[in-house]
Parts: sequence; structure tokens; C-alpha cells
Amino acid sequence: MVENLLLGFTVVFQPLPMMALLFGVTVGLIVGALPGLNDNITLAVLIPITFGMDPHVGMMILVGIYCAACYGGSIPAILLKIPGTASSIVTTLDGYPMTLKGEAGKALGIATTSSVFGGLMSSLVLMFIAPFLAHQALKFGPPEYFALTILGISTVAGMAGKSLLKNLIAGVIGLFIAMIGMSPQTGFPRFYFGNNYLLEGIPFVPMLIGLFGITSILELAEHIVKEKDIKHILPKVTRILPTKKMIKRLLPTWITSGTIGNVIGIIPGAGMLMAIYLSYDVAQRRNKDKEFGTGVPEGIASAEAANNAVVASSMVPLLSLGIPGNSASALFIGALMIQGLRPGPSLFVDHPTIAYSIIVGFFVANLFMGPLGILVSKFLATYILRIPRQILSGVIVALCATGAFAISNSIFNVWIMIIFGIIGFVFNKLNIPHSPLILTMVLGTMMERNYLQSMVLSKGSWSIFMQRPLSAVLLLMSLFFFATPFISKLLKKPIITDDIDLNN
Amino acid sequence: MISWYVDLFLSFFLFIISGFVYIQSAGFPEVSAKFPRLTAVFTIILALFLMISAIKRRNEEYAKTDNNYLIVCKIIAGLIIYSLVLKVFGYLISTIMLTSYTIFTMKYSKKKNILLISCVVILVIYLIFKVLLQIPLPRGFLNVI
Repeated sequence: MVENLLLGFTVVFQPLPMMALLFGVTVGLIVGALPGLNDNITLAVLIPITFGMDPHVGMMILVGIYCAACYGGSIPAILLKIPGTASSIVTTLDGYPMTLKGEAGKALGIATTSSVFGGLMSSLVLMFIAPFLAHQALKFGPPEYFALTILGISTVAGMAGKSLLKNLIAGVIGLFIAMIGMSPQTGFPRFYFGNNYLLEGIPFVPMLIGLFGITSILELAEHIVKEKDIKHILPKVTRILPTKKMIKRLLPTWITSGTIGNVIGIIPGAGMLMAIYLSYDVAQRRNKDKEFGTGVPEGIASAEAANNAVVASSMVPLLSLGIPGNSASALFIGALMIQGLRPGPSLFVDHPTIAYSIIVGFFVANLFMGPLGILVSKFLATYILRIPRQILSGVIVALCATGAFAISNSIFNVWIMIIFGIIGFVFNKLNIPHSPLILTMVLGTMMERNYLQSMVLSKGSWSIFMQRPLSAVLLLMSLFFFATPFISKLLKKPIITDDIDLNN
Repeated sequence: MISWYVDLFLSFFLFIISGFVYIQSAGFPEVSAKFPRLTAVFTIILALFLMISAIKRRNEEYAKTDNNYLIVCKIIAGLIIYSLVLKVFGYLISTIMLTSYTIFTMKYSKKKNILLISCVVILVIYLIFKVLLQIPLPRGFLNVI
């Protein structure tokens, strides 16, 4: 493993991948800071750009974006009380009060250092756990893989949105979409409506471009009249780098929140918000003498260390098992697929340079994020946050349309993008989350194939899933995750009561 | 919380979809039909739960939201027209028009700048895809770009 990691470092430290990583981190910081844009939208829109690139270079851009977007979201959260990404909602609680006290620079510095700490922690987890898990996964048979897909679906169904029923509905719609095209076992064409383009199934990347890019434009269009009157008054940003005393004070919060973020990040579908709320709650309990929500540094530190800790750790199930941890890591499947690669244990065996360069990329991207974040924070606050959203919408639409077309030079992909943009918008109106749909669409084929193979092995008996110890454990874990909404309902305690406008 | 009849409508939609999948799978070989049938049955159960929960909420009151669906429809219409004319007018003209139309529809106040901004944006995207990454883009009837 050490040789492979060194191989990863060798690939990443070449000029082109390094520049790509730097570019990705910069883009990630900018898009994260822009309210209305997030890592999912940017990754979906930019995946087609990586199509013509060397996979190592392309992946570095995406890794950089994914790492930095999460941190970038904290900048408007602190300066304007507008979370740039959903992951910065909790940062607003203590970040903005610090800005009101004239401590905007200090708050940004805390967010930067906390993000770097959480990010580095999770990249180390990814570095050591993913290859180990992938090695173990090579021994898995169809029943274990089937149980794993059930686990992935159960966690996302149990935790993605507020309603278990709506999560499951999103999941089954994803399964229906996954059934379009040739059957994985027999090659028999199903639900293709005589359209030959559909024989290979719904194209994944245009679908994601629609679900993230076009849906976000439609959401923005819906509220544009209200948006027109918003005028940002940006505060002055002074010293950003935190003092040694502050770092010492925040270290316990970073360690706790980073650990929470890593544990939750590894669980497929558990989601970043859960890690953030939990970390904030723990930080509150540990600092009972401080009034959280009034500009407490630990409040920012807990949220930022936790959300960045989720980033790389959410790649653990994707790289080692082929199961995406969240929507953003599902987008990496699209990026790997257009390069003819497939995530999962075989990636470490067949394409070790790709697998290990992604892992090392996360580590290096987090190292870049610190100094770059401090450098560009003032620039972002001065220029980028002033870009009108209408212009951004035009740019996103153009990138979406170009990207969807460029994947396979086909207008059919543009249609898929439009259809899924509308589906995403309707889903939002119906309170149906997107992540279970994406996850089941990814896992649907894998689930069906392994289910049918298990049935062949057991001569049609479902008992095979309980007879194999690992598969039984995974299924029991799935049961637990399905029950999570009911358990959390019993234990629920509201953390946020502030009037944060989530539409922003 | 959304209105109860929206959920009721969704449950009907799920019944139709799962019924369609179940009936269609009758024409598939047994192995290929197994999974769609299982999913369809599971969906019917979910639809039933949704229907019951919607009916239970029928007396609840909902705050009406002030949403601008007309602009949403205009954006969708713009995208559909773009898909239809992309091969006719070519990438550059069609995408510049789409971008300008989107910015205009979103009520950008400085109308004089819209075309200029769109041209610059699309030129940059064109250079990235066509020149840098060498990805072919539609040339249109003018056949110059």
C-alpha cells in the first residue's frame, strides 16, 4: 500500500495534475462562495470538461472543487449571513454575529483553519481506510454486494430528507430509471420505447447536469423577483490568520468535530448536514459557559471542521466499494465512467494510479486550501460576491447545455438534461430529495445483478442473505438505518431556531 | 408542508407507473422480469402509504406561496427551442441566444450589456471545449463555426 501511495504522490506532484488541483481548489472556493452555486452543480457542469483530458488531470480538478466548495460556502455565511452552500448553514449562526462585532477576518480565519484541519483528517482516513476496504471487498460475493447496495439505499432513505416515505419514493423512481435499457443479466432490452439511445440506459452525466444545474436555474427563476431587490453590503475584512492561542483553544473542537464528520462521512447517504448539526450540538455541550449563536469561535470551528471532514471520507465507500457516500461522490462515478473507468475494488487493482492519485489529491487539495483560502477571501468578499445571479444563471445554462451535448456529441443528451432538470424541480416542489434517486440509479443495476446471481447460487432461496455472516450483518445494519427516522423522531431536539433563509 | 392533494396525485402517479412496469414486464424473459416486478410491488405499497397519509392530512391548512412559475416555464421553453435549433444554427449562435435569453428572462437590469456578456461567456466556453479539449460542437447551416 505504501508503494501505491507513493505512486499516487508521484502522479499528483507532476506539473499538470498539480496545476489542475490548484485550479480546482480556486474554482471550488469561488463557486462555494457564490450563493446558489454549490459543489454538486459545479461538478455536474464541469465533468464534461474533463472528458477530453487525461483522467489523472481531470480527476484533480474535480477533487479540488469538491474539497474547496464546502469551505468556500462559509465566506458569504460569515460576511453576509447567506450560506454559500447548504453545508455552511450552521456557520452562519456564529460567523455572522462575529462579523457584526467587527471580527469578520477572525471568523474567516477560524473557518479556514477549521476546514483545513477537518479536511486533512478526512483525507488521512480516506488514505488508509479506502485501500484496506477495497482489498477486503475483493473477497465479496453476490450476496454481500446485494446486502451492500441495500445498506447504501437504506442509509440514504433513512437520512436524506425529512420523510422516510418520500425518500423511499425517490429511491424506487431511481430504480425504475435504472431499469431502462438492457437487462444486466440477460441483455434483454427493457422500457426503451423503441428509442435506440435508451438501450444503454439513461445517460448518467446529462441526467446529473439536469438534476443539479438546470434544477438550480429553475429554482432561481422561481424566486427571481424577490432576488432582484437584494443588495449586499460587504463588511471590511481585516486580519484573517488566527493566533496561536486561538488555535490551541479550538484544537479539541476540531478533533471532536473532525471525528464526527469522518464517521458520518463514511456511512453512505448519511449526509453532511447530520455531521454538522451533531458536531455543533457536541460543541455546545462541551462549552456550556459560552452562549452559542452570539459569535462563539467554537461554533464556527465545529461546523467547518465537520463539513470538511465529510468530504474526503464520503469517498471511502465510493472508491473501495463502488457505492457513493453522497450526491457529490456519485458525480465522481459519472466522471470516472466517461473515462471508461468504474469505481470499486477493481479500480485499485486495474488502475492504481487513478485510485491513489484521487486519494492523495484530497490530501494535497486540503493543503492548498489553507493558504489559498486566506489569500482569496478578501478578493471573494470584494468582487465575486457582487456578481449578479442573473449572469451566473446564463453562464450555468450555457455550461450545462454545452457539457450535456459534448459528452457524446448528441442532442439526445440535451433532452435528457432538460427532462431531468424539470424532474428535479418537480421533486423539490413535492419535497422529494434527490440523493436517494441518484443513489438507487447508481446502485440499481448492481443490486439487480447481484440479487439474480445470489438467487442462482441459492437455487431461488432468500435465506442465502442471512446464511452468509457479512451479508446478514449488512442487512441488519440496513434495518437499523431504515429505523433511524423513527429513532431520531423520538430523540429529536431542535438546534437551529434562527431565521436563516434556506432559499438563499 | 405541501398540500394533501399533491401527495394524493403523486400516489396515483406511482400506481400508474408501477402498474405500467408490472404489465410491461409480462413480456420479458423470467430473469429480466423479476426485479421490475419486485420494484413495482414495493412501489404500490409505498403509494398506498402515501395515499393514506395524504387523506389523513386533508383538513390541514397550507400557506400559499408566491412563486413565479411563468419565468420557470419561459426558461424551460428556451431550453426546448435551443435543443431544436442547435443543429440548425450551430453552437455559437444558438448558445449565445440561449444565454442572452436566460439572463434577459431572469430580469437582469442592465439590458444593453446582456448580448456582450453572453458573447464573451460563450466564446470562453467555446475555446475551452472546441480549441483546448478538441470536442466537436455543431456548426449549423452557416458551417463556419
